Amino acid sequence: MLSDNAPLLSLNGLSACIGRQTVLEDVGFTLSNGQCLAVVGGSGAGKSTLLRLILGLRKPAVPVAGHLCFDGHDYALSKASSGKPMGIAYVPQSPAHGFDPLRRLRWQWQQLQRLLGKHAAGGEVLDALGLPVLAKAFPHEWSRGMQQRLLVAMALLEQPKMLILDEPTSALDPLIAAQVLTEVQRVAQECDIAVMMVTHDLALAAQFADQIAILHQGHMVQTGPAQQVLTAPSCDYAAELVAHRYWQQENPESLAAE
Amino acid sequence: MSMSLSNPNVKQTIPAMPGTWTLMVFALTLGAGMLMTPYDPTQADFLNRLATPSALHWFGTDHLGRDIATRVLYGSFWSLGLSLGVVSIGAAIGTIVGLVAAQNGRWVDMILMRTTDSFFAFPELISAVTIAGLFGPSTMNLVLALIVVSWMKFARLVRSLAISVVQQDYILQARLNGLPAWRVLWQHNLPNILPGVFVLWTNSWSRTILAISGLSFLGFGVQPPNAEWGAMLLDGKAYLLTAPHIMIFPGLAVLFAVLTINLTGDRWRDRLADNI
Ligand SMILES: Nc1ncnc2c1ncn2[C@@H]1O[C@H](COP(=O)(O)OP(=O)(O)OP(=O)(O)O)[C@@H](O)[C@H]1O
Ligand SMILES: [Mg+2]
Repeated sequence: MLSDNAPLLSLNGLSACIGRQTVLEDVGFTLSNGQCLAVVGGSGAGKSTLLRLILGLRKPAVPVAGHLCFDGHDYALSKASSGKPMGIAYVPQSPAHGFDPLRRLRWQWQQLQRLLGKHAAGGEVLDALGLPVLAKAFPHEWSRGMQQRLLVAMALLEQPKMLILDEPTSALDPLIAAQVLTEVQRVAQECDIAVMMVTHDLALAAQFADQIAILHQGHMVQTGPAQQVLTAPSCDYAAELVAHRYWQQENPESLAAE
Repeated sequence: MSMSLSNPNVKQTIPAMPGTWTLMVFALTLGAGMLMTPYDPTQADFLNRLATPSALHWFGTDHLGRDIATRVLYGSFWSLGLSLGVVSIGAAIGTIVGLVAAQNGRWVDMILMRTTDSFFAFPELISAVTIAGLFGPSTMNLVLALIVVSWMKFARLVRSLAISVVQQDYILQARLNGLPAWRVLWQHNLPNILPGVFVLWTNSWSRTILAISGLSFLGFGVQPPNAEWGAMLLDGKAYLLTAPHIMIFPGLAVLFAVLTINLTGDRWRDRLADNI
């Protein structure tokens, strides 16, 4: 059994490459039960790759070095390793690929319920995310934002030990984005779920995350408590990112003027 | 997307398929005709040689006095049925090869795909003629020859479809959530692959009808006295000028069958293109 203060997940020295290109170098962080970590960074920084490696997926990138400890189990990460940590739910970046196009959404939702042995559960999560009743719709009949919210709902239904969300609000308007993350936060606190999410929105990160990790070109340039990262960025890139956010916040009229 | 073989819910979304209906009516007519015809397709009747179409012999009779309408009906067993068998076996082999290649990747994939490529090097008709030449002309050898050259397209198609499906996140989710691999294959991979296979299958079916008829016409395929459409064309060749009906009706049968199947396939392809 884990003691209360041992982290749920700790990652050390993860390096990974796609072909000959190194996409992650010496990445590491720790995450405790019930905590929320926001990963921010530019497009192509390697955020999605990092998430998929933690899930034990070896596409597109293959780990070359590193050590993962999740829920008391150790996983050495290398070209030959093959262990997959159990009990992590994942919301992929692209909602369009998250559903079988041939199956009705209700079927896919019910199949998940069957797999989890939770028949008829999860209705309140759908409500809280503002989703309509899962009628006979096929995935393509729902908007991207609705698909994305349903993926989040499915991940929450699993009540995993850890939730990995890849830009879960990329297709949502700011109000619904906040609503979704509030629900995620509620379930996470209720069930003591650790959350790791990628986001491009520092305001959301500031609001919901306990910790922020900044990824820049495959390096984790800063990681720490959210307030500390936002107020005392430790490197040029982090400073630039944070400054940009405050510029937007303090000068709303300059945006409107354009 | 509109096709699934296993889920009744999804089937309801398939709109009426005129091409499919034509095919079914075609098949029923052939079956009923075979039951109702008073003639034997292979029994010669020398008193009635080369009769022109009449009320008794709708399509006339051939040089041995056999009823051509009856022979066209029974010929459908060879031309349509045999080719259907050949294509289906080829499709099954190709689908399995493609799936195995896509699932395993790496060297398995490489070996299977190089093998497929090398089989593509055999031109269809020539290899059939070669096999007939080596082992003697017979229906069995024809079938083997056509299967040997029919599976590669399926293997390539299924491999590429399967690779793109396997990388989709819903497959991954299903696996992460503990759905056994074979059920993922059965519930998600196959239904997403089969519509594409089906279109190729109709396409190959009509090509195989032409191949069987062509080879039989050349004398390499179905042997007399069996009533295969291509073999019937061969029978009528000597009488082209004096009794053209011997060739016209089996020729029309080939034309009509190939056209119907091709149109059905096209219709399905358009449907799929609309829905993807
Ligand atoms: N399938 C792939 N094949 C080859 N290279 C890839 C593949 N997927 C990603 N990469 C490379 O890996 C690097 C990191 O990509 P990744 O998708 O992790 O970025 P990201 O931080 O998630 O970006 P975004 O914010 O746009 O989602 C990029 O340089 C990209 O070029
Ligand atoms: Mg990404």
